[in-house]
Amino acid sequence: MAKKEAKLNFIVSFFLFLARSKRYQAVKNSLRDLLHDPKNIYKKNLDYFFIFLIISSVIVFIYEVKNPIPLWLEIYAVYFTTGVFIIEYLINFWLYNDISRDILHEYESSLFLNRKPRFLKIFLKSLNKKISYIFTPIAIIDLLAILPAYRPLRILRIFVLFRFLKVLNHARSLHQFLNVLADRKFELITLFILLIFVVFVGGLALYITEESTNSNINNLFDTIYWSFITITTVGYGDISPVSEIGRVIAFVIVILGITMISFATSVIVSAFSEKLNELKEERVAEYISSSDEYLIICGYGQIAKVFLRLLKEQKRRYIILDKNRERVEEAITDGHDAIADDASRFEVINRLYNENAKITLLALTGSDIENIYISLNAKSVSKDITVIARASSVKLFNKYKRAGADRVLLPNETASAMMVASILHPTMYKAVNAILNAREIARIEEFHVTKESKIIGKSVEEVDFNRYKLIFFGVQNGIEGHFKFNPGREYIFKERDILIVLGHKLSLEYFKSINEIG
Amino acid sequence: MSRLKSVIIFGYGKFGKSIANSIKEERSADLLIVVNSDEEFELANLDGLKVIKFNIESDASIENLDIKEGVHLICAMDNNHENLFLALTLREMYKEHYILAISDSLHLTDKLKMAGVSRVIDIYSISGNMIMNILNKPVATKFLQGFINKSHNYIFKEIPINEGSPLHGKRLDSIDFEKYNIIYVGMIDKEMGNSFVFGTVGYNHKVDVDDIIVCVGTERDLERFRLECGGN
Repeated sequence: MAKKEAKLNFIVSFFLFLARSKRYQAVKNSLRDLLHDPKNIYKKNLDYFFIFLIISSVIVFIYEVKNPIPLWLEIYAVYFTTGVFIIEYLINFWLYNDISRDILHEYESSLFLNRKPRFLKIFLKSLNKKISYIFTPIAIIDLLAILPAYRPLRILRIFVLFRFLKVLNHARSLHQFLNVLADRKFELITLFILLIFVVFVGGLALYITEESTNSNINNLFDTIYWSFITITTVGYGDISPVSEIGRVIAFVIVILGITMISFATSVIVSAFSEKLNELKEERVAEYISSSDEYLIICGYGQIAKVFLRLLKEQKRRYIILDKNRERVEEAITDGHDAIADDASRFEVINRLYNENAKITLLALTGSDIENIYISLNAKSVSKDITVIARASSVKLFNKYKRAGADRVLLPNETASAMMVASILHPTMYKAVNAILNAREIARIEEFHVTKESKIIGKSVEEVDFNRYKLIFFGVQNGIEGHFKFNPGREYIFKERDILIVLGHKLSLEYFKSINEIG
Repeated sequence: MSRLKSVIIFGYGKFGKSIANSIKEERSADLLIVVNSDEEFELANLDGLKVIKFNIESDASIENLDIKEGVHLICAMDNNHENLFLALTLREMYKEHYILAISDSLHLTDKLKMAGVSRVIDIYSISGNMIMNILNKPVATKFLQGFINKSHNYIFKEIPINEGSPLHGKRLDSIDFEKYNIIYVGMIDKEMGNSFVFGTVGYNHKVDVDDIIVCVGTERDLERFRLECGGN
């Protein structure tokens, strides 16, 4: 195999090297994420930067038409901004497809199938695809936005308009506006064709009727121009019909014009109202998934409501998902961010997923089937999503665990157990209840030992919990580690230990500050 | 050992059955199921429980149950309206009894409290709190929940101090709990009234007969402590 590879010419070897280079692929992926992934935390800032460059350079170009500008401003608007745009253009060109991967794929296929590799064919095909980038609308706008900087040809300054169009690539709201229009492409194109037809017929009719009697009409273009200005209800008045037939034509054109404008407006407005919820939800989803830590709450029922009431005091970001539009409306009225969507669908959770964030998903719908499906779905998107699911019966516990739920809530069983405990073990019940409800006098706390903590290397005896009026229950190493109850006075604390301690709020805070414990 | 407690559960639906199972497992209470449907009657019978049928709308039917003083009454009927009506009736007839009820809605909890129920266990509040605790303190919550759902071997135990206890007259700081591998949590000091005082207050109580010490540990270690230190 090594011999075969050695025979490959230099270019192919170079491409194979690139395709196999982890660093090269990592750089390419990072740049792709940065420029094109809306979930990338730096993308938004980069978009703002580009919008600033575009607007500021356009202002300079416009000012420069009549006024001289200082050298530094010229360097900024002409060389710096254009330089940045050229670099962006070239990076996009580079990212558009990966010739090296195509070559690698061909090489591996040829080895597998034991046939001669067709490198030239694949290279040309891949190159062709790369060149096709130049003709995409975005690339054309990008290229035209670079042109105004070319000083010898002043006419190129007209392309400053394209620099404005470039904003489209970076401002999402404009993008969304165009997407809405694109959804109504059929209706709008039909209207446009009708408009051209009416303008042309109206113009032709006036030309035939008044060509010899109306001094303002010199050729067919004049009447088509008149027809267009009339149909759009602008009506400059520089050309107007002088005969009765001409005026009747004007009536018809004005009526058609008003009808068509109303129709076009209603098409756009209805498209927007249909898309409004979707757009809002898209924004909410992006806002949530841009944070470092957030909750996805599936199902807006009683448990979710109680939980959200408790959550009010904390600054956690969350989003509610519910299939039922009415419940979503209720959640929105209650002041929450909510989306009407099915949490058991891969794309729904994937849209809210951010690999850099700590995500907890709460499956709280009233149906076990739904909750199990949602748990499985979340884990299929990423194993790192922590799933807390509600089960209606302890019999389903293992099913939930198999579906990947990290914690299973058993409201009925817990309530029953608490009721029984309150009768049979009232003192224990009072104690656990007080601790669970975080009473100031007896609050349970878990302290995470970080490398800065002062208790590392100290024994339980040396730490002396009694001194702080604390009750030390036990220790666990890491979130998934084994819990050691009452480990004894000789136990030595180490990094990543989690201490379970009961105490008065003040004692806990004091202990925390003294020992620099998390 | 503590005296056998008497518990009556009204209703044998999803809640009643679950509560009855928990009590049966504990084997420390005399249990009676009271139902108003043939279906639930059959079910409780099949599960080997002592069961009686009653008519919820008839006070005489409830009086016939001959509920003695000190019996714990649990309203666990699946129908919220019936459960509330039952709670009102029971409170009307038994002014001093400890009545418990389960609630599965925020509004019902308030109504049951207004009806005079001594303790309402609100399923959704418990669940909401639990999620919050899991998010904020996952390890501690798992440990605490273990006491309720018995997922670990540690329990809270009340150890009454009886006559002849070697702890009588001793101060708390002189008791070696570590010897028994148990943790002192708090106590009911009769001298200071009937309320439970957490060890986190830091008060060095003097232990006397009739006090109750609450500790955490395994059943075996706690029982060893009770036998050696609880007195007769």
